[in-house]
Amino acid sequence: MKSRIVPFGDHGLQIQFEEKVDPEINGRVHQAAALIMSSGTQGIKEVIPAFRTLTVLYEPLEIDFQTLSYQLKPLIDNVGRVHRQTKRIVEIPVCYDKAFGLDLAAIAAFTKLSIAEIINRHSQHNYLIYMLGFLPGFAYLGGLDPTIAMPRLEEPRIKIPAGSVGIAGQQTGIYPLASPGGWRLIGATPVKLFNPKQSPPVLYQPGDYIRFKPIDRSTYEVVANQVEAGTYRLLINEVRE
Amino acid sequence: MGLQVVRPGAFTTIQDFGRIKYQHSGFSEAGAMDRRALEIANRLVNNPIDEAGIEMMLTGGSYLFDEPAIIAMTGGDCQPHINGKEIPMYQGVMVQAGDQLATKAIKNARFSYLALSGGFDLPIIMGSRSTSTRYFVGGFEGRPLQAGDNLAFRQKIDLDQPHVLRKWPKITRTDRINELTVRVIKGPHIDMFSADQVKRFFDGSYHTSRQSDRMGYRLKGTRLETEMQASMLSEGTVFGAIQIPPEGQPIVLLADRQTTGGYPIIGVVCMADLGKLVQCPDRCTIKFKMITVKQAQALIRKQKENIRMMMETMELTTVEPTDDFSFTDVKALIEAIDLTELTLFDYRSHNSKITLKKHNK
Repeated sequence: MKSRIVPFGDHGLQIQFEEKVDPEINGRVHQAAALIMSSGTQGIKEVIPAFRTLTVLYEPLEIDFQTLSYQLKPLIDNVGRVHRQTKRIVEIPVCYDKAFGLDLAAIAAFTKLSIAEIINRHSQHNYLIYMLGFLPGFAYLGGLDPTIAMPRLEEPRIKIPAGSVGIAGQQTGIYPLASPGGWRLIGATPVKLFNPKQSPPVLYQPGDYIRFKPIDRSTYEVVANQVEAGTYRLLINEVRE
Repeated sequence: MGLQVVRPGAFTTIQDFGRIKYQHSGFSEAGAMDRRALEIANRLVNNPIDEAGIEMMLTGGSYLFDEPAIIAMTGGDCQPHINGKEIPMYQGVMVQAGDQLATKAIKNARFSYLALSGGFDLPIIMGSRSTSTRYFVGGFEGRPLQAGDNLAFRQKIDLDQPHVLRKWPKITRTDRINELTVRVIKGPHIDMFSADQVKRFFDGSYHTSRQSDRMGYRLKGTRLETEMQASMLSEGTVFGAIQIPPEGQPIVLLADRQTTGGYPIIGVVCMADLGKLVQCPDRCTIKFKMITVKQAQALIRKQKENIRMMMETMELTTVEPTDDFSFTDVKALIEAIDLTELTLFDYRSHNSKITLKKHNK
C-alpha cells in the first residue's frame, strides 16, 4: 500500500496513507508513530496520529525537510510488515441510567429498539481508538453498531457534563470535559479521562480499544468516590490478536 | 514573596515554549504566541530561551515586587513604568522590593512579555509551565492571572554582588503597520482548491476579525471556495496552519489550537513570520506570499542567526552593589529589635543613614 510524505509547514510533515476510515490503514498510522518515536531520529518533537495520517512535528534548526523525509522513508516502508501481537482493551464503566442517558428514550423511538437492547448493543463491542484529539483524552472511536446510530440533536445543549457518553451519527464517544454539544446522551462514566498530574495523563493510546461496561447507579457512586480518592484503577486487558 | 498581581489586564498568562509532547493525546500545545519576543526577553535576563514568562494581551497590567529582581520586557510596546517612571523595553532592568511595575495598553501590537531572571517558581506539568486555559492546566492554577495572585521566584538575587544588565541593540518598530506580508508554505490540502481559488488566496487581502484569540485568528477578506463538499477526516494540526472552513474565510491556527482539525489547510505560515502575524494589529492588511519549505527553513535559520549576532553586540552595563539599605533590610531590622527599648528611629534613603537610639538603662 502506498504512502507519501508531504511538508506541513516548515516545522512539520505529514505522512499520508490511503484516505479511508479503516482499522487496517489506521493500524499502519500507529505503527509508523511507534517506529518513528523509537527510532531516535534527530529533531523529532512529537507525532500526532489520526485516521489515515501521521503528523510529525520537528525542529527545523536541527534537521531540514529533505533530510528528515529521506530518513523516515525506510521506516515507513517497513510499516505493515510486522503485526501487533496483542491488543489492549480498556474497560470504561458506564452508567446508562436515565438520569445520564437523557436521549435513550429518543433513540429507542428512533431505532424502534428497547432501551435495554440499545445498551446491550452499545456495550457488547470493542471500539478501536482511531485517534485522540479535539479535547484532552477525547477518543475518536470506530465500530458503532449502525442499528443504534442517530443524528445529532438539532439544537445542541449548552453544557454537557464531563464523562457523558453519547452517540452522534455513526460515532460514539465520551466527553472528557464539560462543553456544549449536540451528541445524543446515553449514559455517563464516573472515570476521569485525563489527569495532568499522572504519567501518562491519559490512560489509553491511539490504537487501543475501549469497551463500555454497564454499571448501575450505586456502583457509579462507588467508582466516583474511588476516582475522587485516587484509588480507582481502570481495568486494561491485553489479549492476543 | 515574589511578585503580586495588582491589575491583571485582559488575558495575562504564564507561557513558555508550550506543552509539545502530549498533542497525540489531545492536549493543545499552548505556549507563547510570539516565541521570538519571549526568547529575546529571556536572553536579556540570562535565562534559557524557553523559560516561562508573563504574556500580556492588549491591555497590559501592573505588578508589585516584594523582592528585588532583574526583568526585561519585549514584544508589543506597553510603555512600562516603575513607580511612575518609564523604563525601556528590550532591556534588562533592576527592580527593588516595593517597586510597582505598571504598563499602558499595548501599542500597535497584541502581546508583550515579561521575563524574570531565574524564572517563576511554578510547577512543570506535562513538561511545561505554560497555561492552557482550555483544559485548566499549567501556569498559575491553570488560569489567567487575577489580582492578588502571588508569583514566587525560583532564584533570589544577591544585591551584594554586581549584576549585568543587557540592552538589545536593535530598536524595535513600534509605529503603526498598515500592511503585512506573511510568507506561507503550501498546505497539505492545497489540491482541494482549484488553481483559481489558490490564486484568489494569494492575490487577496485580509484582516483579523474580532474572533481572534490564542486559539486562532479568524480572518476576513477574499472569500474562497473549496472543491470538496464531503467532510474531510480529522488530522493533526500545526502552529500557523491556515484552514478554510466551509464559509470560505481563513482561520490561522495558533498556540491554543485544537490538536486535530477537519478543514482543508491551504497553507502554513512560516515560523519566521509567525511573530509578525500574531502581533498584527486590527485593521492592518494581511497579504500572503508563497515560498518553499527550503526557503522557509533558511529564513528561520537566518532569524536565529540574527538573534545570535544581536547577542554579541548587546550593550552591557554592570550594576555594582550599593551600600544602601534596601526596603527589605530596613524592615528586617525593625522587626529584629525590641521597639520598647527604642527612643529614636531615623531612616534616610539615598546613601542611606539609619539612626537607632536605645534607652540607657
